[in-house]
Amino acid sequence: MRFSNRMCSNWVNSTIRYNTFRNTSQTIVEHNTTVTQDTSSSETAAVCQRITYHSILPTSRPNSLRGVRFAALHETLLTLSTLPEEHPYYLGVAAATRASNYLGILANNLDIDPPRLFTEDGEAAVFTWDLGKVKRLLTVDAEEEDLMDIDRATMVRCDHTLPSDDDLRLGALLNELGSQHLNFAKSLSDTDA
Amino acid sequence: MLNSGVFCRSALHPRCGKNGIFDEAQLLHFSDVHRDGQFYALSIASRFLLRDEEGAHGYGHRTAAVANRGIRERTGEDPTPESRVHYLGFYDLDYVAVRKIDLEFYDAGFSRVPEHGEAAHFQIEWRLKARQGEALAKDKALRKDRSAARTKLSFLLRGPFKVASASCEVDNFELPTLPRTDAA
Repeated sequence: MRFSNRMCSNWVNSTIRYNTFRNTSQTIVEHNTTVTQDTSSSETAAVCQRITYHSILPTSRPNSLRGVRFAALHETLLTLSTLPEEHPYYLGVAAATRASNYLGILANNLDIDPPRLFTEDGEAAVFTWDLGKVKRLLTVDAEEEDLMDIDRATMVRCDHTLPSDDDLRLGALLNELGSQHLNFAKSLSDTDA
Repeated sequence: MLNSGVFCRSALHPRCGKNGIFDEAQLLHFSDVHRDGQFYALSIASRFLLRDEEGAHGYGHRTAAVANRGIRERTGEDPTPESRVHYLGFYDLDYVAVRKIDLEFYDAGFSRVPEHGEAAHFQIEWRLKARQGEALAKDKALRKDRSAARTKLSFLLRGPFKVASASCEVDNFELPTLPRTDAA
């Protein structure tokens, strides 16, 4: 029995448990690497794997929950930029456009959850992710972006240093967001197993 | 102010943005009072002075009316369906926990500021520290400081206490349960 990543309709971070596979050999696609597991032993093999179906073609399923959440974020950013300037939710057009572009880059290049959003003073959009004990904040304004983590329990703030060169910065940011996210996903699946 | 004091923050939300789009820090919008980046304030209300949950909801409804009137006065037009804010409920904040949040560039304060006939109205205030000259040059650092402090404040929110008669226009918006237990 072969499992391809397209068969999994759940969105990123969904954990799928396959409890009883006997005499089967399955292929699980995970983070661009193919792992073949032979579960032909007579004992019941409890297989618990995280399958992230969009690791190869992230944009191929626009109607997935993940796709819908990202689309809603884009739509919200657009709406915020049309609010009157005095409105507490207002976000400047330049910042909203740049934030929207960034969101597209993240959604299409990384196995990353759709973030939540808040605006800072109409100048910047702040995307947030809950990574267990830590909350991650990515601030995108009209010119720059910036990454920091805040620990929930101790409230200690940790700033990530990004290169000042534009091209290098984007690469570094993707690296930072992507690798840490994968580490986080891995630690989760370890605890599941 | 007693250390056991509890305050509430009304959740006022425009119609834009569906479930799960906004972070809870969005509800903690500090307004730039003098529009010069020197003094930021967040409106809260004393649960003691509002007596009970009903009192807090009443305060929330009146705050929403004031906010919409403010939009009308500033823009000269009625709020559009997107910009009109609706009162959805409130969250509790403990005074003693709020006092522990420190900022790098601002002095945090707490004061009672009755306004719009609301005797229970308080403010959390952030004033730029005295060394403004050098600090102002690092505008982005100031903003980061505020974002971090808002996020820390959002960790302290407890609730929601939802209003029963929330407008049907925003019934697709659910206030998140805080603090988030799944993330702890």
